[in-house]
Amino acid sequence: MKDILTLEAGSAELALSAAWYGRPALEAAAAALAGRAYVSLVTARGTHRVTLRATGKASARGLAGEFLDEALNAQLRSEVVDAARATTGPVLASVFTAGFTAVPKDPLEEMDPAVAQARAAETAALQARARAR
Amino acid sequence: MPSGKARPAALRVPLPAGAPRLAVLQTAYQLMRSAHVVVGGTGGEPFLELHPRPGVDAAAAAREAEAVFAAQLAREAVRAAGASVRAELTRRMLGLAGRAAARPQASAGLPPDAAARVQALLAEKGQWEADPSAIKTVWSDLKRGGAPRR
Repeated sequence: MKDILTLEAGSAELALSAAWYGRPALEAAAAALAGRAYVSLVTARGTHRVTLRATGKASARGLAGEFLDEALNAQLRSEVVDAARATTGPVLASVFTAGFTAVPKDPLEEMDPAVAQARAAETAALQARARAR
Repeated sequence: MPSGKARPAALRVPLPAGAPRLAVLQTAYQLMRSAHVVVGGTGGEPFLELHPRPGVDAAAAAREAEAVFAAQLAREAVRAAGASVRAELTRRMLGLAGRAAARPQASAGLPPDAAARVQALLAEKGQWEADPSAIKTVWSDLKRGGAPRR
């Protein structure tokens, strides 16, 4: 049985299964410890290796416990949201469709089709740049 | 977690293979009051590793884990059984909401012919502004034993 939590002088190391914890949940947990611990997060071969080192006098075990609580909280929340998506998706879609009506046409584009073409080309170029990032 | 109380060793609670993911996570979440919990296990055999909080008995935490997991399994079964009904209800409600939104708005005032009929009726009643319900006798007059007002 491999140790999930290893404690050393002033630091703690956690080995968490990537099958159960998503990286965003661990990043949220790391953010919750901001200012109190240095957090290193490395993911390889289905395991997240998290190293916590206290910046002050907080105990490494205490920080590890808090990290685990926060990670579990974030992971559960995201999975509950995912599980409810079949219901919330159509409801939100209809709300947004009703709330955001079509944008009225720009008089400039109405008067001169070349303006509409130039704008469409500019928007397409921006979108391509955004996707390439 | 500074505390003078002794901290028990960690222990693993194995869960049945193929346990529903949400039930496992909900169980771990509910146990956070008693322990810091790690969810682990691959290949369909999950486990919870409990690091009991200071002063919490590890065996009691393990028993709590089993009880909470059983309750979560029942909840999950009920949720799964009602999923299709909820989906259908949502679909129908959205359909109704769409029809309600498409319905033409009622006008604020009465149609002209109805308004004319109301006005004619009120004029026929005479002093309708002073006695809108056409009682003719004021309650205070009746209490005093006075004659009905004409």
